[in-house]
Amino acid sequence: MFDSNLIEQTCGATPPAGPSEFSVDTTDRFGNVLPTIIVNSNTTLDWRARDFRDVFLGQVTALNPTKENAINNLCDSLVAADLMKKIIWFAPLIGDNAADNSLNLDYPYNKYSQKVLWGGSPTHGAGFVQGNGTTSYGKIGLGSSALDPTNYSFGFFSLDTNVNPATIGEMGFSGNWNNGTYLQLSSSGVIGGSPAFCNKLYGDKLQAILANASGLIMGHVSSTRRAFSRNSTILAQSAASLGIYQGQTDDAILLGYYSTYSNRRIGAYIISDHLENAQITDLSNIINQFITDKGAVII
Amino acid sequence: MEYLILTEQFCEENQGHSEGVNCFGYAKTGDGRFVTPKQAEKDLPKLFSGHKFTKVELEIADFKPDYTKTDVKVDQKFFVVERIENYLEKTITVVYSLNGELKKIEKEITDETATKTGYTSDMEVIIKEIESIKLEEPITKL
Repeated sequence: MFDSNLIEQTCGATPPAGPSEFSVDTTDRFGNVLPTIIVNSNTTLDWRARDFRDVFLGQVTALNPTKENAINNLCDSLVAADLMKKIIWFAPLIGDNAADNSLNLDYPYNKYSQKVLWGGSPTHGAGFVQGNGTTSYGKIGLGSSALDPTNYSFGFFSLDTNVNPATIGEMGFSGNWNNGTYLQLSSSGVIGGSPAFCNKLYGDKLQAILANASGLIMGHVSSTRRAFSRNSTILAQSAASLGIYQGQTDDAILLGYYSTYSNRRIGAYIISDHLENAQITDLSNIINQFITDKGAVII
Repeated sequence: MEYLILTEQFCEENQGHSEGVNCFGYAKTGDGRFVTPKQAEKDLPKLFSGHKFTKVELEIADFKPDYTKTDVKVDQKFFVVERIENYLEKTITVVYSLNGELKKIEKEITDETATKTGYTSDMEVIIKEIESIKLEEPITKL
């Protein structure tokens, strides 16, 4: 039924004057044409959240109410915290199957650069994806041009507090590139010591080793710092020059490709613009709540 | 976990094959067999239709070569087995195999080198140390 309070418009058109003013981009940072959205002229704060929610839920297989609410709350919270605009790519891993788990909340369409291509049959379980320890990885086509090497944060939510001692890898981000970038974790479970972004020049397999820790594990890169965090805690930080390089050969970001023995359970993947400490705290609270909401279990 | 035993040719020919959001991936066991998870039959039905491969139950340990055997990689009498960078204790440890004998080098990561060079010099130190070892054959892989 037509609702006169709803004004349909294509992104990019100037919104009508009203109680709230907002701008809408025609394309996102990758040049993807954004979808037609419905703007409720009476709504002031959360229309953008509904937009992301509706587009994502339109692409994913029908979810049960619990998971649908988890997505709703996630989008609401990200917008309310002013974090949605910071996100470059976010895999909520909501659907328990490869197709749904490949979807990017920020742009859930069938496009190589935005969807995860799952290699070597990882397990898609209840709110997580898990490497099989031998062949599995995920791959997204966001390449060197997608990330500003001095302005990004990236990471994953680990559902594992303990990982198999026989394993040496992660199901988090790793570098397939000749000069790839990935997170380095320490063997004690604390991302400690010097900040540790490494690249393939120093070894042809993932160098992230065991971290017996669950939570939102992230690396943060700006022109003035590189830092690691777990949940809201900054574990290591440096203002050193970065020594970070971007993709050269594969032009893709891989999720655990070199973790040939990885078996970590991942509850979400995220790439964003560089996050300040307060934003890291906000994001951690939101993602932890989302993990709880969608029923993923930390083990 | 159950795997399918493939041929090396099958793996090479289908590298990069994808169906929907799934793509082909394989691994080599410690004793040289090429395998992919049995789940791949469901993930990649087009690729596997018409093929019948032997199934085998494997553990992660089955994928780790026995580096103490000289015939594990006959073309490489020297190769790096493991490289562990422990940023908490600020050490880099390189375990390598030389003519079947496992050796280990441990070096300290200094804040100066780490922050200045992103560990480049640390690895250079390690590589130089390894290169200083008299080898019967040149280093072919790091």
